[in-house]
Amino acid sequence: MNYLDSILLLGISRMDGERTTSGLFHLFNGKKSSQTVQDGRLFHLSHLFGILKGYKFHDFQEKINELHHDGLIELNDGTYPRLSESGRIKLQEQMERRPLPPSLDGWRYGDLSIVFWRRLTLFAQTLSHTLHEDHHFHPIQNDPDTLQWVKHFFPRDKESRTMASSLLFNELMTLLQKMEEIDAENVVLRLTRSGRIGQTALQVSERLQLDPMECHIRFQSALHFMVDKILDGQKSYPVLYIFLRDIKQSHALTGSTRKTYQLINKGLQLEEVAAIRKLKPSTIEDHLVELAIHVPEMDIDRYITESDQKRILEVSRILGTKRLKEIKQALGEDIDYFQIRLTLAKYEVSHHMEKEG
Amino acid sequence: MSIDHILSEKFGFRSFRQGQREIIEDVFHGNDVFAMLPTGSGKSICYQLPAYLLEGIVVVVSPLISLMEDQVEQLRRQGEKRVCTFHSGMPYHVRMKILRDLTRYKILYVSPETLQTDMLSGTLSRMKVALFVVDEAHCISQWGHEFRTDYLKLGEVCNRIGRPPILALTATATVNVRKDIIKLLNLDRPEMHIYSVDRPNIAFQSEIAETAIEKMDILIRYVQTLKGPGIIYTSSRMATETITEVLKRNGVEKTAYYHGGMENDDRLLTQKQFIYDELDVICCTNAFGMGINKPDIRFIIHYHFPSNIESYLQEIGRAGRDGEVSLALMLYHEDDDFIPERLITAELPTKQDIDHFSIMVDVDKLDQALFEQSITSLNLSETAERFMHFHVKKFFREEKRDFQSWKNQLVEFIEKRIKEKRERIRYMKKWILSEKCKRESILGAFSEKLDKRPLNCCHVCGLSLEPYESSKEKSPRPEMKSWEEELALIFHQENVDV
Repeated sequence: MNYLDSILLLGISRMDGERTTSGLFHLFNGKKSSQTVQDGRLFHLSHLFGILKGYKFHDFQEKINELHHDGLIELNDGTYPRLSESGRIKLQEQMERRPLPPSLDGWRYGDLSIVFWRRLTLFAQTLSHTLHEDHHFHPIQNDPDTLQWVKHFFPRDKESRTMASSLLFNELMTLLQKMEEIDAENVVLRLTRSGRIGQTALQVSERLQLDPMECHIRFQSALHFMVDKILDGQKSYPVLYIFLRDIKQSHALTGSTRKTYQLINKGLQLEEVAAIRKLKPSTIEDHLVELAIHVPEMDIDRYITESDQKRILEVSRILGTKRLKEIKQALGEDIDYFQIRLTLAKYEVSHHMEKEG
Repeated sequence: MSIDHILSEKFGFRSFRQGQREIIEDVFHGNDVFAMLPTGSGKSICYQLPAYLLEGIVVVVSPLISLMEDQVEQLRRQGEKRVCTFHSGMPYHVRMKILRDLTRYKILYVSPETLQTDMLSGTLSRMKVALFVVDEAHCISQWGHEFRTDYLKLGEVCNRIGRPPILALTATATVNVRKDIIKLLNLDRPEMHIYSVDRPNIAFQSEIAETAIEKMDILIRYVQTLKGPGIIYTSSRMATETITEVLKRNGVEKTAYYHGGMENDDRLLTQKQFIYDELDVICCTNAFGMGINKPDIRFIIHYHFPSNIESYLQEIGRAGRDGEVSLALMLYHEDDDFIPERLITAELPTKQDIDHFSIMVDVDKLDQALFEQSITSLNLSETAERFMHFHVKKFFREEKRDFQSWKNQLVEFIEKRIKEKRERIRYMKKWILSEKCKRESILGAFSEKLDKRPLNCCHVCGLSLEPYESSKEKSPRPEMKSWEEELALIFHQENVDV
């Protein structure tokens, strides 16, 4: 059993037959839809959001089939995966042996850490080469935004480059020392300097003798850890903070949702927002659900009465499900899917905060 | 400034290489030019140099984003900042900024697809375009017909932006492909500059294996003894990974694979490791190579053969760009035969697909949206899907629409393309199995005769492998320092106590 299998089992165990294989796939693949974002919250899987970015659905499906074939999961109605008893034992065993790194937070830091890493690798490489008077090196990134950013922030003269280099070194040293040895290595091996190109994911996993997926997840987690610490202690990491300063806000809401939020705040009705934005009302509904998740002060009473909210939560609790269809069937015609989603979203968040607070 | 002056000033060369001066002069006279120069002979100078002297912008159509970016990166390293790319992978605001400042640039690299957008072609039509360059022009003929169908519209776009003179550049085009390019680009009595495709410093070697296992053994033996760096071409992503594993286990540790399914970061790292000699061998699909500017590649091995001889020539042409002796090795086993066949059939929809399609769409109503939707439910390969979209669009542009005749023509066209492709595979295979001189017969494919036979020609003429072998053992991967030491090296803090 490899690490990928345990990640899949974990996801399946949390969703517990309430979402289809593709629902799980979207979450792991980091699809930015309200439904997926909401699922992350609902099933406490936000930390794994986007952890398999770039993975093909076909391959994912195949993996699920393998798990099914090995008797670790059942497939309700053919597409709703659920752990079998042996799957449950296996997962527990795996999580004890190789638990998920605690800093992993795909939803909050996934996107941020990608940009952060691109900037850092290119910046470090550029420093290393230019301090060796090599100005004709092959850049290790080709993404135009990253190139532009490094060009803009790269110090112009030798003195400030030397300075930046020493500061960055110290900040990174402090950060990396807080991690396990193997995770610090996982990060540093991937950096490029004059005289050594960074190692690929596969090469690092071979060096560290880790399962490739475990190596990948540990690396992600290390990045999330760094980003978290930098944002948390800007004063301790003034140089690294620059790498995040302009992007730190952008993760919470999708851009389109933010526009919807502005209009809603002006007191516009759902249909009016849809008309103004030339979007389908169902899209605006998605935005509202997303807002209910991320914006604590978001008021949903406009869309569903308080007593109906209570009814929904009650039914969900009694039936022991978050599956919209079942809840809807129990409640009848006068409550629609949107209202159920909205309520579940809102409730999950406050429930979460109570727990944490 | 004279062109010789610019050559030394901007490009650092004292003299032109074969063909360059003649091509550049014809470009200056405003003629359409068709130029075929062997791989690695400095084709890009043929338009980069004129860009300094012509009034207006030079637009270069290039098949791959990575290729464009490499060219731009290289020019920037030479100190030329007035170059840029424009493609769909760039963020919107960056593209808008480039459009606003377009007159400031000397050279613009674009893909055929982005050139179609009104945003870009509109801007270009309002300014002076000095020259329209189609780089790797054989792609028009090789890919244009099915999966890069925007290539077929280049002639049209060129008219829209004021019909500047056109320069079509390629390293490998048979007589038929040349005709195809000239027709599709609408070249007007072009000046033809055709130079030999022969690369005298590359020797040909083939091995025909009895079994698949034997083939792998032969590969291992060669890779262990040949002087690197080298490239191994295979037909599938899976094969690149398997072969890499096997080679690593057999002492060729500095081997890595490269294919289109990898993460972008890892692709870049692998490329750069190869460029900086941190890898001895890259095992890859044909996604690797174009735009890789490494002069000292010593061998190219084909573990699977490509589907036509031009692709083969392109791929082996990546060896020995420094002029030193290099080896092109072809490994063959009869099981390989089905691979290119499978590839070409997947590139196009089948007759059955077309039949299914005609059942799904409403022939009486002819609704374009429904047509386009039905394509998606056919579950075609990406290339076949693009092919269908292109032909559906074309159908709806017609004044009188006759579904039945459109359908028949389409099926006929597909059959014709597959037949042509099969013919090219057959030719490729004939070359592999032929007992005649490899060099002569490859030149024959391009209607050329061999002038002068190099000492080490091919295994048919007699070939000593000694010059291609290395006396040294393959070196292991270097040990890594502790992460603290590494970090110190990156940021030049070696002397600081850690």
